[in-house]
Amino acid sequence: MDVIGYNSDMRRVFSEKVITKTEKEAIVNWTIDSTEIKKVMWGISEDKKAKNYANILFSLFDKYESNLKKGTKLYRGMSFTEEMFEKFNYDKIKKGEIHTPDDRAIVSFSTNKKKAFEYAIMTDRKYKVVYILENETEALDISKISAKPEEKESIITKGKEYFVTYTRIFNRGDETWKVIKLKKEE
Amino acid sequence: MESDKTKKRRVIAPNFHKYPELALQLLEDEKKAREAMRKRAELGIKTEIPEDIDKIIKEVEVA
Repeated sequence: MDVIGYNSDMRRVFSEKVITKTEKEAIVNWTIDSTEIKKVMWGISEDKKAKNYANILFSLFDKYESNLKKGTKLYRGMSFTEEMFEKFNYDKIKKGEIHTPDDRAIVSFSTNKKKAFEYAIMTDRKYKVVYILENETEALDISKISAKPEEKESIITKGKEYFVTYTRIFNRGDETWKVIKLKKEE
Repeated sequence: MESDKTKKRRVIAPNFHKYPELALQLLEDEKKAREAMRKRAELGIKTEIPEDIDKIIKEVEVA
């Protein structure tokens, strides 16, 4: 039976046309400001409204298949203090290791390299980390629903594990940059 | 010796929840970064990746 818009396990392919009104509301709120929702996901807040959005957002990954084209690369830029860089284990990420960008919260990426880079440079913190994520097959491209479509945002769910296939660390003035290439296990 | 069945898989995670104060700082700064990006977009300021960084990112992409 050919059913357009469905994959073999009958999860629908994610799109702005198939999601519910409450799912859309949760995504829009995430893209306006994910701060409170992330606090709940990390277990450092009990805000009821944010908790509701967090649950809706997590459920998207059970309900929908990725709408990203095969082979799309995702990027994420971040900046840290030296203390954050070490305590959050970015110094320990090396080729051959298995890494999860976040074991408790949804993580945002962008298909637009420049946007990801902008996140890394927008604070005066000296430690910059850039992820390049390849072969991700479960990310949801939320750019068409986002309050900021220009950010070309895609999200992955908590605890997704990737192989670290390459890392490069370099200094630029007083900044330390680390570029980490991740690949989904096949 | 640990068998393959019992061997725990080593996964490096940022463990943001273990350092809530630092995690909150990170979130607040991300929020400021987003606001700054929005202002730049409103002003029509385009971001270009400096050539040296772009070169390294491209090298990592093909590595």
